[in-house]
Amino acid sequence: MTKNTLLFFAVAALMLSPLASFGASSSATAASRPLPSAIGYEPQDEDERGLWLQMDEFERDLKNSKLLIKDPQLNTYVRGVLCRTVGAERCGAARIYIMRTPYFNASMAPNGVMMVWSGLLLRVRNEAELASVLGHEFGHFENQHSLQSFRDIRAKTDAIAWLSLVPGVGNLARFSIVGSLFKFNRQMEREADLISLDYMAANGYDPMAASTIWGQLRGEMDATAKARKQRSRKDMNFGFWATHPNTKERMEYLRKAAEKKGSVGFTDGAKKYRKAMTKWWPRLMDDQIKLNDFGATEFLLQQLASEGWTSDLLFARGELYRARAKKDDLVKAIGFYRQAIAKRDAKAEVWRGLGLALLRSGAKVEGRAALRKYLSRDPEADDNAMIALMAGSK
Amino acid sequence: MLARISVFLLLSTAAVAMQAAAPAAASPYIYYGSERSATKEGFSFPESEQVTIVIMRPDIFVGAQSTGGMDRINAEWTGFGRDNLISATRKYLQHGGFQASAMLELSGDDANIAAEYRALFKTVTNAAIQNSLWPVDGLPTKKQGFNWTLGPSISHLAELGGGNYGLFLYSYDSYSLPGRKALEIIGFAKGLEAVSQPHIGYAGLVDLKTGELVWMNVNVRIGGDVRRPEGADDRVSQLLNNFPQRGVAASEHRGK
Amino acid sequence: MRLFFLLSIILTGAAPAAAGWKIMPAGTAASVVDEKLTVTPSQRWNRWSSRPSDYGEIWTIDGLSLNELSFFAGIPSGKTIYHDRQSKRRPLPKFRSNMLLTDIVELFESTNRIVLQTSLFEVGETIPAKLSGHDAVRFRYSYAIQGDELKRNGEAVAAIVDGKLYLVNFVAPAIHYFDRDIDNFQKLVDTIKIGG
Repeated sequence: MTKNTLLFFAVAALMLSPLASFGASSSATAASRPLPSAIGYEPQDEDERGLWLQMDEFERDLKNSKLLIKDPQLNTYVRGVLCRTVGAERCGAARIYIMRTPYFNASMAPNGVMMVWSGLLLRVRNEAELASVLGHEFGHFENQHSLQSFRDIRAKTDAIAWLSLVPGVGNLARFSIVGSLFKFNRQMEREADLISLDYMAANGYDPMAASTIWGQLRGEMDATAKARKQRSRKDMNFGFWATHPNTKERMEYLRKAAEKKGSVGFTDGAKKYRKAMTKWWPRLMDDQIKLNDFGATEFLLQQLASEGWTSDLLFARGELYRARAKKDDLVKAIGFYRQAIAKRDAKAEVWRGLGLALLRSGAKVEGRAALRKYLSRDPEADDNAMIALMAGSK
Repeated sequence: MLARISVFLLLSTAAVAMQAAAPAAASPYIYYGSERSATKEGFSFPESEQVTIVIMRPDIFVGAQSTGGMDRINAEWTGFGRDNLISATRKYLQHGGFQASAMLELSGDDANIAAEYRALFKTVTNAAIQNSLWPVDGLPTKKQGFNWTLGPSISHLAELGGGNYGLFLYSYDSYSLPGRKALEIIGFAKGLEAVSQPHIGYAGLVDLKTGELVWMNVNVRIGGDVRRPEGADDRVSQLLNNFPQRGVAASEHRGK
Repeated sequence: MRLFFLLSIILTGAAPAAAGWKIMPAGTAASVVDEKLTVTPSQRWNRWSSRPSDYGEIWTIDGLSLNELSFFAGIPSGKTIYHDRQSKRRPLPKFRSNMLLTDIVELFESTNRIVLQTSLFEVGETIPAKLSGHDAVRFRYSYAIQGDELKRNGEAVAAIVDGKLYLVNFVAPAIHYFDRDIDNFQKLVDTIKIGG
């Protein structure tokens, strides 16, 4: 990578402060100026007004985005968690946009646009974990991290441009400036992490949840790697180039900070979270299965099934094994579909999955019978003509 | 596959960003002319009826470039710029004998529809630029003529905007901050070439009945300062250079 | 903003490395993907010299973002539909010769969700069909990707012949372009002969 490529990454990362960066990859203080979360806050100077305008334009487009999950119930719920975390008098300054994107992330723009990816909702296990992420993003917002980051990048790229004219000042000087950009970003991430912890503890959410998320993500990365027979990326250290502290470091400093908050009077809101997400889990799980990441998906299914396997979870597991179809995967898939059917509330697609898994493994008669059941339960299905042919019912 | 193309564009953008970030030694690349326009063959405005042109909300960026080449939008400039551009365009069109109105702020489903057509307009004009206006490795079937369309269902927009034609305007200006200026001057003296001060504008006229892109103009080194009303007049006259006139049938022309 | 980027490329002359196009005339049988297929288009198309994989080839009428016709022929068991460019981070699912025709639809969906990096990809009507006389599946789909909100529709026809995958796919913006050329695509599919 050249310095310029890195610079590009830095600039691209500028407008949004994401929660995590697995791809390429704070102690500044707000003095006595008004916080952006205050009601009626207006951007204070030319830089800030510019950033806001740019993000306002972005928000115009975002409102028409097809990736936006508009479900009012889900939106009200997530907003409610934010408001409980940071306080009802502050949360109004943030506008939450839930995006149908199957990876773990959230981001915050300086004008109050908070984006939460659906992959994050699939991965956190309870309200406290969700609160830790929302609080982290809100921390970026209140401390104007995007603005600081913008100024930092501008000042440093200016220096790089001047240095490029000076003969003899080699790449080393420019290199160290680029490095300091990343360091600055890591500081802000750490700062936001700790702000979130304070919010959680102050408002009754178990602060330890902020640390456990990172443990879960590390577990998921191990699972992905194991199924792909690769080395886990969990301890990949981008070092100098890292925009975020690494997951292990994050998990540990958050655990230590949470221990200091004690453990009395906190809730994790696991039941409420499960209830709010029930409707969405099948869809988000379907998105996850289609990512062709067997290890991670199996890991997430196990995590979701910690309170028992529902018919939806068993169906999802059947789909996952049927899609991979290695060695005895089809046999296992057939087993999962049958367990789902035994739950008595199974949806029509379970018979579809069962029938296709049976057909592919050579059990023609049984397979066709299952497909016919699917057709009788969902005669309007988009694929009914194709399945009818395979079921031999025409 | 489409994603790969956008990734490619992103990378090219990165290349541009790199050049902007640090002045490069004189580049081996060919510089193209700075303006291109095209009109659909045989196009003329209907004589008998009144012609109303709806000015779509201009996509505009007015910002400044720091010494290191970072672009930052300036809220005041951009706000003035958009208003100035709309009124200058309206004036220009009225002077040419057209009725002109600005598209209203839309919300809900209407906003979604307008956003869809905006996205389609960008996609179509991208293809037109690549294959007709600056045909670097363009499609052989697009060598002749200027035939691009958004399709007849665009009449939805005519209903929303109340006109026969839609005029889409894009304007991008980045002014050098003092530090960048100094760098450019010193860099120039040292024989280095910095990519600086992008001033880009393009405009496209769409028939809201047929969806055809009847006229287009692109200028990658456009003049006129949209931050001031007089400057915006100047900008619009360049942006609408070669704009089809009433009562004059265009023999199809391309290039400049 | 993307157009600005494109214009900046023009401005700075950082033009894309040359890929080539060739006209495929109407009414003439063309051999496709190293002569694994022949097809007789009823209108002019442009063939791209850049290929999506060893088993594929791409055509367009107005530019790839406005209409894309892709042919995949003779993909053997264990191979992916497109080049598996990110095989470490985002590996694509592989075709298996024992797949059912409905499995091909799922393979296609998963592949495209990964390549396009979107979850807004829905498969619609899926019906039995024929490809060069072989049993095939025909399915509709639609998707949108992040950063380009234009909704696109597609239709593909796929068959497994002698344990190898054959797939023809057409995709275009949902506004105007898909509807304009879908009949043409279906007629074109009817002219396909596997084995040249």
